[in-house]
Amino acid sequence: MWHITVGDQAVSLPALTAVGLAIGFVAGMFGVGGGFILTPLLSLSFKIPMPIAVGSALCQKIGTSIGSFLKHRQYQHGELRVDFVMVGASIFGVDAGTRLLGLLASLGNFENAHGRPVSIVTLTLEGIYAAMLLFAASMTLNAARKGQKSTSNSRQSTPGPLTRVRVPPYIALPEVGIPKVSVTVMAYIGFATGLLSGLLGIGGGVALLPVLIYGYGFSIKDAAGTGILLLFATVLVGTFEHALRHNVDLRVALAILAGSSVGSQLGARTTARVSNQVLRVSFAVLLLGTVGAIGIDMVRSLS
Amino acid sequence: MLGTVVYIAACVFVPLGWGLVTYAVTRAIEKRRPPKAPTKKPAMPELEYYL
Repeated sequence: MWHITVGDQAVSLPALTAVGLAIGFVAGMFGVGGGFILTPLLSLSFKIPMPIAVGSALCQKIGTSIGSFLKHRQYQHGELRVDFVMVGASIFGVDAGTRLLGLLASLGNFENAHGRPVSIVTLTLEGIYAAMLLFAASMTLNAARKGQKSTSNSRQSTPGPLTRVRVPPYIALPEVGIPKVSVTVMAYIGFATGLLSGLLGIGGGVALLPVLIYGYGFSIKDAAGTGILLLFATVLVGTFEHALRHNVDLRVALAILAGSSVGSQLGARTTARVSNQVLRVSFAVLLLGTVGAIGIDMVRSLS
Repeated sequence: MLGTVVYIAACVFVPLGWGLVTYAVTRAIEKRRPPKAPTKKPAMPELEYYL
């Protein structure tokens, strides 16, 4: 009763809820999405096939992202025009990402030196995750080392290099004080956001936020407020696309969601008792731990 | 065919409904018992949806 079969693996539902609780706790404590750790964990710990891990992670993200979407709407930060420009392209991106995942899965396995089969899709996605998490860990550690204070209250935007790209048509972003940006370039960025979401089962902010901050020169506060609608739409369409290909296991998604709903509240309460510096370092340690676990799994499967 | 439609609709709407209920319950609890200490901002707002 408490076990379900996913792919050809028996998975314990209480264990999934416990993972959801832990991930929700991390998400609530650090103020992050938590999706970055979920897909690798489903694949590493439960041996759930990567396409189902990606689809189910996206599905449960609908439940967690609707709250942040509603919450951010109250603050009215950011530039909604960016969302509208990018959302169409992002839907094509999600479709492309889901197809790419299907293509990788269809490549099947290759044999390692000892003749054991190694899944191409799992190995590729683990590599992408490891690189992404290493980058995020180095960024967080760098900020912790400098003792950098959050600049989230600053709302000053200084136009970045992408605002100087001249590919018509153009649009103004009055809410963030940028007079002219290329719609075409923005659409491609939306496409990349969707592609990552469909391929990896994450929100897709990994592509969007650095581009908005360093490419367009948005303040952190405006960047965090921009794209919430886009990311929510991306997660919805991504779930639809993956469900269409039977990559979503609703039982897995709901078991995780049940745990993470409670965990995020507990995490948010704990964060008030810990200094930001300690939080940053613990977050980096968590990321590096995940990279280590992925690395060990990759080495083990290749050797 | 009908089974697939129901399955896809469930995959989209069940977690959405769950999220809405959770949001409503959290807001109701916060309204009834507002937190005593001011809520601390997330340590890394720049990463809020970064990953």
